Amino acid sequence: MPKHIVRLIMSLGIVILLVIGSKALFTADSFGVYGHYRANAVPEIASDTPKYKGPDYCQLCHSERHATWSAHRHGKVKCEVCHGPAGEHPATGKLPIPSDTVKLCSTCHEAMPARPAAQPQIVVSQHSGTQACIACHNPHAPRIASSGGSDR
Amino acid sequence: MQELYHVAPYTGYVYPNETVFPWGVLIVIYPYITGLVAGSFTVSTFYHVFGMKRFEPVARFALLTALSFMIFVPTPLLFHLGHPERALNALWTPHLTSAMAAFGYTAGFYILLLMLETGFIFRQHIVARAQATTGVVRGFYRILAFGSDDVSENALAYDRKWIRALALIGMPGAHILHGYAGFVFGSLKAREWWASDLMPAIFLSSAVISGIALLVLLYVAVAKVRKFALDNECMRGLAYTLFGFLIFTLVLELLEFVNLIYKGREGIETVMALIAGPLALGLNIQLVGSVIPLVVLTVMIWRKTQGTPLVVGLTVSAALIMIAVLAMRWNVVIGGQELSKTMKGLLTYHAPIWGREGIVVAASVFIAPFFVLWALTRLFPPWDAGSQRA
Repeated sequence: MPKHIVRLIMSLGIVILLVIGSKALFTADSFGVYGHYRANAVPEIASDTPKYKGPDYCQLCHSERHATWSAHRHGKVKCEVCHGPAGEHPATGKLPIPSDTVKLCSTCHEAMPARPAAQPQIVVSQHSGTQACIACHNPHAPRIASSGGSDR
Repeated sequence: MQELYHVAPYTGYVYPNETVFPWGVLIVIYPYITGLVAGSFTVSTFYHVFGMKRFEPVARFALLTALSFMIFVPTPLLFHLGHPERALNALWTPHLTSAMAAFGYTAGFYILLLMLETGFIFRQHIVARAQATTGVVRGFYRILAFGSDDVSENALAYDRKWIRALALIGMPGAHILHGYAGFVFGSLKAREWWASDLMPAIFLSSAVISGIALLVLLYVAVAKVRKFALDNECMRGLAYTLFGFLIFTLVLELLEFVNLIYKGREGIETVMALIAGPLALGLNIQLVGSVIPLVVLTVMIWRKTQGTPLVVGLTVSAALIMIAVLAMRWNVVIGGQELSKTMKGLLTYHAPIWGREGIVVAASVFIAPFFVLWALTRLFPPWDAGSQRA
């Protein structure tokens, strides 16, 4: 057998041994304690600070808005759905007040067959065209009184 | 709405845990690059395993193309996951309990195989360079030649056996590697747009057409730069192969699509909204980029087109197919995630331009293999046989 083939086979053997050795060396210590994942990942992830704080956090400062919002139909849609996660707000600055309401509102209210019928749905182009939703609707109390019915 | 992108980029009628869009444009590039490897390697095996002489001019170049792109296959994953210090862990800590971790077996095996195959095919050149050069360059080639300058008939006979054996093993290897990428998507049963047993086969056949298309474009480009004539028989062979695999791909894609709609399982209305909405552009690009080449190739094969018209037709088809396959990767990777898991709404993906997972990084990862390919062709000239024949 030619010299280079012999040396190649030997090198391949060394590579395979190295790879097997590396596997033992590089597998994380806590791997496999609970299953096929790193057990230490669980406490690490659990110790992450949540970015979403929930409406109670918002209420601490924005009690007036909170009162309007919670008394009306959008009371099920949490503040951070439209304003983004609070995170370290107010330390990190203001939270966004979305201006392109047609896009924002249509993510839930554009008519789509798979959506539950109880959820108000419109075909934006027929309903209001490009007019901003907030021209008629208050996002914190969306139902327009003249359309009849209570807002709850 | 745009004010929200930086805090919660993805809004819609969704679960709270869907505000993170885990796989972005980088993961679009990942199966794209993998596919180019599988396709180029397939062309190389036509000559090295099946002995189809007409592919000889591009066979060695195809192998270098496969190697260059293979080196970058793990890169998008690395950018996506971070932790460059764990770059090689995927290769040496694989296990079979997760489709993701099985990547280590397929990729590690395949990179090794491509390097060996390249080494054997260029061994005569390596030995000649080791003898003709001095210093560091000589050392480099000496290592590649395993310190041997044996190019006797006996040694070459061994080389030929290894080349054939490696190409023979490599063929299922290349196809498993890419079938695996399709499997990762197809096996996610919660995603209506992905969960399909046809997914691995679709990924594989579209990979082959994109690889062949890339090879056509590179072959034509290199012939222009190096000023050698394109081999007419080789071009015709590439046209036939492209045509065959293109039909196969389109049939599979159509089957999957019809199947999805005909079964009409829960959430199909949202899938239709996805097709008509955010995915419309991507799907149209995919459709146009597949149908025009199909028509052009059919006409060229019917009319037995030769020479310059063949080159023009094939190059245009190849370019369109490259775009169509990229669009297909986008439609699969992004499309699947744009369906909310509630199946009651759609998410919108906004590809960031900058940043670790942005368009610039993804484009760089795609372009980088071309530079490596250029460097490899300097070290291992693949064109000697081709230019002599021309």
